[in-house]
Amino acid sequence: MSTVVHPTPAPPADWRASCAPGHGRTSFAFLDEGAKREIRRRMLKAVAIPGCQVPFGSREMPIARGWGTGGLQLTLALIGPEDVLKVIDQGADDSVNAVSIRRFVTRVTGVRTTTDTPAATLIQTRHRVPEEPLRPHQILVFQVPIPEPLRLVEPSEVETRRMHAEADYSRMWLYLYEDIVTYGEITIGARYPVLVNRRHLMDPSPIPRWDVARLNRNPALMLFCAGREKRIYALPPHTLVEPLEFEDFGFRTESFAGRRCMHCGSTQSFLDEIIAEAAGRRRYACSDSAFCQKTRKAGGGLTHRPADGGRTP
Amino acid sequence: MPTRMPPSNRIIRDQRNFRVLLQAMSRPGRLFRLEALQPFGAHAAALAVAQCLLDHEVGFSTVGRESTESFAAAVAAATGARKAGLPEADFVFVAGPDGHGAAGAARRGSIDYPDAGATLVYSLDAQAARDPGHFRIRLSGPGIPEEDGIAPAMREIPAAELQALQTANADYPLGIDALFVRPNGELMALPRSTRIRLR
Repeated sequence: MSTVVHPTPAPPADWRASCAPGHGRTSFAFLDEGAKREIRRRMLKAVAIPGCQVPFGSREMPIARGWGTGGLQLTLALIGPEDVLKVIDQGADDSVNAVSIRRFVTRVTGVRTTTDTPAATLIQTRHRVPEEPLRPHQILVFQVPIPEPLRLVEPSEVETRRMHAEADYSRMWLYLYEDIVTYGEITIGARYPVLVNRRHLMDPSPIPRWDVARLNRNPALMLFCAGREKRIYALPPHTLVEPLEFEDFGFRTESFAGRRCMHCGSTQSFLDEIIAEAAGRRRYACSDSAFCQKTRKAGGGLTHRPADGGRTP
Repeated sequence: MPTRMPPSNRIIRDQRNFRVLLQAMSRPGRLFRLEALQPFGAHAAALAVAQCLLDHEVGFSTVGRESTESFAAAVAAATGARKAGLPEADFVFVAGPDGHGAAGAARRGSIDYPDAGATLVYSLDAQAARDPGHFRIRLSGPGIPEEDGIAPAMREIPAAELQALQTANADYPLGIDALFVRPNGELMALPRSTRIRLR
């Protein structure tokens, strides 16, 4: 068997020379090498035990906790001069959080950035999986606010550790059951709990259910990090990811039946609802801005596999 | 306004080697290639792994032939990591494909924190013969898309050693994670999530 080599583009010609002398300089990728090594060691353990939360020493970052410090630390420990970075915030490349993180990483590394999903080698995301299918050499880094899926039913960290150790997820099942009894529906929208590799219950971060189905056996490596809660976890490629569901009450994704994006006309993407207050009408637009622009350029003809894995009734 | 310092060659080499390690750990049983440290001969690749991951925060142990003493000194000098006994070590460097019982004795983590299990780094010989039992081995699990599993890309690993890893990882998620490196930098990983079947 031959050595696996992923195609990597050459780094920008000036990435090393462009480092200006002067005060206030930082090391490459901001973090000191000791911090990177620790995060790297923890990342390898997280990949070796899919879905298991691995603690790490979260560092102070020049953005506030809760604004993506976890994802940012993983990105900085991963990134090298050959990388092409994409940062999205709820699907958009142009929101404040995404723009600020992208600018910061560029300033401390000199790497190239892109909004085109297939062109990126490293994608940092807040609460969405890009609509276009990911490829094997890509790494998706999620920003996570609450890494513990059992926090919904148990406030004690010691107790949730025990529950994970014993794979005792009965209280989570009970929560879902009571939801169905009370409301006739599982009311968890984002952060839908998933079982990874038939062993660990995992919080997929607040992605919509639409994206939860797309985590299963995805060819790309997915890394999750909560900076405030100091936890890293991972989904290696082709890992079995199953949303919790009952035999007689299956997992369902959001339905946009009969609706389409007001910009590109797509009926196959996750849509944001926009209420025009004056007229009181609801309108819909693609949450993934890069996908929307690409679809518009292609004349609305861009196709991709169904995002819900065919599970929507 | 902060600007960036020009990174040294070591920073860039460590970053590239880490990405290779991460890819290898994500795709068990497949072959990847590290940038090895050339002056160190048979242990060049193992030392590259040590430089990438070890520092004063971790303990390491060496197992195998006499030559590992000089290797242990080189690791300690290059990384600042402390020597530790086999049951306490975070990283265990094993000389040769035979583990000398390291897989059975290394730390497997606790039930609350299985990630505290050790990482074993096996240095393989350049001219090792294929193990006759390699055709009986199938790997499956996360990172391996093939339904019926794959054969490990490195065929010189004795079936008995893989069996020892299988035994050490029987109580998943407790267990150890193994990296196999050749002197030319070739690398294969077997994390504990990989199911090893011997037919």
